[in-house]
Amino acid sequence: MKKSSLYKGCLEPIIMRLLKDNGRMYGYQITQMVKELTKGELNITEGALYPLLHKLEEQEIVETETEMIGNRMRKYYTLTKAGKKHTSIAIDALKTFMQSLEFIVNPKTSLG
Amino acid sequence: MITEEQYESLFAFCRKHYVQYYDVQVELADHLFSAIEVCIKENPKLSFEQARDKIYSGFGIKGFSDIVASREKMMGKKCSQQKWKMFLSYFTIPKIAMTLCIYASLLLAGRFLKEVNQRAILLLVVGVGLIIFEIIYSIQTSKIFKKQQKVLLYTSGRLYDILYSGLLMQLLFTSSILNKLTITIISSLNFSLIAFLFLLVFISILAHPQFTKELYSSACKLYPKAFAS
Repeated sequence: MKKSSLYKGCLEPIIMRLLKDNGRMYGYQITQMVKELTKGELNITEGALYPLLHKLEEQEIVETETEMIGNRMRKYYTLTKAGKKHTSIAIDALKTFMQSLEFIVNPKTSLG
Repeated sequence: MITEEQYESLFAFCRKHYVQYYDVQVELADHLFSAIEVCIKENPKLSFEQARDKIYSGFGIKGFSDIVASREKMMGKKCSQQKWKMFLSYFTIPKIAMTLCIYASLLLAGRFLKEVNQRAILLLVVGVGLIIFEIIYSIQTSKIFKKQQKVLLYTSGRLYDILYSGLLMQLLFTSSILNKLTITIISSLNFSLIAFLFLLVFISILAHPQFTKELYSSACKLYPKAFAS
């Protein structure tokens, strides 16, 4: 089974969490930070990242700003006020989901 | 070290892969730049072009197309939301009074026009007049975009209104409500409904300059390089 299909639905809370912790981030930085934090286990492709960021922008969960880095223009994503609230809800939902998975994957240990 | 020319070539690379909008190119060029830099650092034997193609292959079989499509969808929705906000903000007390007066005059005119075709002709004149008004008004308000030198997806939404209004008129005049206009008199109910619809179009046209101005100022702030100084 492809690893990416396992974590596809979890990308949204992951990105939101990173933005909450780091303030503002740009696309490439997000992909690299996820790779670094998961020691290369999780690799967000550009084809998945940007459409997701655009969706979050559409839902007004994130907003964008641009900054000149030398002669280059860089676009940063930041959580909006509503996005910050939404992040906590999304993280809680992810935790519950992980717990539920634990019940299935390790039924004995999770039942204690 | 990536040179200035190589960075600029990434914009041409994006255009070659069907990304026409400068605002989308900016993000992709920056992404490619950062990724190429790391790639060359890890493997100094790679040329700029080889590293670029390697990174591009990571975008998958569809290349940049999904990214452009999702951005188009997002901008379309954001634009509609913004226009809706502007439309609602139009309704201050003096403007509500003016709107009601215009509507009342239309209804009053409708009451006196009882002959065959008269109401339809009035609606046709008002409808066509509205489109002409909208075109002239939009051209006037779009003049502030003269300084825009690059195609931005961000500002493309300002042109949709004329299309929508034209389509609405087209629909109205070919719909079942009006396709009998040559043989019947439009009922008072249909007349008032169509007049109301025209009024909504009129208000949306009046609210448009505010939308355009806000769009322009935020576009200048976000993408200053797309505008001539």
